[in-house]
Amino acid sequence: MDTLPEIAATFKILLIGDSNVGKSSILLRFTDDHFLPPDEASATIGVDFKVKMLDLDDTRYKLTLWDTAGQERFRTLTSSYYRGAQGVILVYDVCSRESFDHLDEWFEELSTYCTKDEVVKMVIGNKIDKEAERAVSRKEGAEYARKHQTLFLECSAKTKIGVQQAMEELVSKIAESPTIRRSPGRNTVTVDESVSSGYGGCGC
Amino acid sequence: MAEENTLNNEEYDAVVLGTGLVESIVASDIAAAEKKVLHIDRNPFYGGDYASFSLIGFIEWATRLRDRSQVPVVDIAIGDVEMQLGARKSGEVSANNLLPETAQGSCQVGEILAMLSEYLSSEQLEQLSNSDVLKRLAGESRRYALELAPKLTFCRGPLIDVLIAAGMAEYMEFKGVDANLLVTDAGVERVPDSKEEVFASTALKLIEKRKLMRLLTTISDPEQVSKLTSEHGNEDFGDLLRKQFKLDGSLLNAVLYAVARATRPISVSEGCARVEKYLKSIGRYGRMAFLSSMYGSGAEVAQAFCRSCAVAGGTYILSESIKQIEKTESGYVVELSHGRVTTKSLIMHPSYLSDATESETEVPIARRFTVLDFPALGEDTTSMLSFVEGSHVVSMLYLTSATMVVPKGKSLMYAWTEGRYSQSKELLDRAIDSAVGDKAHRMLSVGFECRALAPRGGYTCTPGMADESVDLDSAVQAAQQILDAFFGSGSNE
Repeated sequence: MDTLPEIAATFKILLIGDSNVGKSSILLRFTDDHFLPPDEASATIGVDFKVKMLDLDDTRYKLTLWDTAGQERFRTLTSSYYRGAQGVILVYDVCSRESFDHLDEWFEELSTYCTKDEVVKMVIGNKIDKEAERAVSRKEGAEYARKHQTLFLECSAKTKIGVQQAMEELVSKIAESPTIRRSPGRNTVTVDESVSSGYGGCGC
Repeated sequence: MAEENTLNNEEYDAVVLGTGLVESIVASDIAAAEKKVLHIDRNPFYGGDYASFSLIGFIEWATRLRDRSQVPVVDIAIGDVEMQLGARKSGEVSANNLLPETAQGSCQVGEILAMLSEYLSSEQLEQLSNSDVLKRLAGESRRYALELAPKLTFCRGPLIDVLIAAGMAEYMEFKGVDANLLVTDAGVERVPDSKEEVFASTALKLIEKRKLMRLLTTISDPEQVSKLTSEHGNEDFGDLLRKQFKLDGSLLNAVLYAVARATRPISVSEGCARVEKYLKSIGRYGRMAFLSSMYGSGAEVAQAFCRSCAVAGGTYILSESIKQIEKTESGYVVELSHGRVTTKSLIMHPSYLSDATESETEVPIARRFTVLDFPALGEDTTSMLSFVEGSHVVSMLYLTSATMVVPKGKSLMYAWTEGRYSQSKELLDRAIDSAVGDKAHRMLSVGFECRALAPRGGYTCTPGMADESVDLDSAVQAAQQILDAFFGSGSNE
């Protein structure tokens, strides 16, 4: 490809799920192809959102991937977190039955902010590198996702398996969906440091 | 992971109680300075005095969640069924048994009826359960963002500066406010608020254009402003406009109220500063002086600050009860339902004081809003309006689906003024009537009074309510004062 493809659309994608299921690790693996060892990772501080370009079938998408900023600990994600999202990834830890059981609550919270016409949902079971400690079978995860009519994948942010594939599936599903609001900023004002220095609004 | 969800004996630099805009700015700024912050709200929602709600959420706030010392009474009219939600519940028969079967078709309608039933006669309940208006409102509940204190953002002012500096523009979307309107007996007229508007206006007479141009030119010139303020600084701004600039009638109202927003008398210095700020805001992001944020104002901005605080490591808990606050030599011990924490600083909205009382110095604000089943002043637009009657000024905002606060095709008109609700209700109604006319289109009308709660000595308190100003900058200034004290005295206060 000689020229860079133009950005066809920008999608806001959220990660939700219990603390310690690896949401930030998935984010970092996908955007920076990087994995923090557990003693450095601990609770999320400082990760707001990351921007990543994804090329699918000769089309370029700009993704903004949003982390929970630790606000999931006491279930206090702001409603504004959900605004304008086109994709939501619900993450559980395949080694934690509790995190899987809590998906119900995350689905419920999600349903108060987004309708199925507005977002594509995907359930991800993370940490499949720890096979010996697995507490939720792949079959169980897949059935759960089927019941909620969402996409499903298992992955390991540590070994990379499944992460890229998950994002590609999610984005192509969003791109296919006719009801999803494409560009969040229709006629909106971009608030930034503007050079125009005031008085009267004439460009002269 | 049980230990994850308790706070036992954690130590903080600051505990902030309340997630209104002022508290949220304070929390965010303290966390940005790498201090450990715990930010709490006793309600299940963010926003405090600035909160915004879905339609069902608003009914829940009005019936169950509101602080009755701050908002004693809420009037609600759905279609033609009117009810008053008083300070005390009537506590008669259990609501659910009474619900007519017709209500069971929609769970949203049922939910609303269950919350309101104790305030309704059985006839009203029957009427409401068959109400087409209620069905339409309830069915689109989530598409409403109904606000306790709707406001705008100046294109040039402290808030926008803070949002930009903190890199929070990504969190929010804004739209320009399309028009600044003056409501008169004849309907609404556009305020000629810039030289271009004055020049292009067909409504203004030539002599009026000259007068306005002279004023705008004067206030755009720092030298002339400093001359004006040194000579007349403490005089009344309205008098100056009348005498020196020969403004009267709707021209005077336009400058004094729609632009300078002198809801009570202001000095020449203050008036010049306000007009200057307004004029400087025009042109930064387009031809308007104000922006309106999508999905609501204060609560959205507050949530953006909360997220930024969380990103910096702040801990958030909602629906948390504060059991006890104890002052110690080095700070405070706060007993919460999630455990006991110690903190060097404690900053709170006065409603978190167990015996909060109404402020004796601050005037309450009477508020009214109505949801209309058509875009009364135009689809896809946002306007600010002023209604002047004698010495009373009513501030108004007209919002549509342009900012995603109502479903497509509907509109929302807010009106508020300083004073008791009981004494201002009719004034507010006249303001709304003059702006939108025909009562038949009103699906939902709400009225209530917000009282400021007084701070108490020994505690650092944020303002006791969202003030009557039309923009959010005063909240930033209030937060700045608290932050100056926090950082000025170290964190050992």
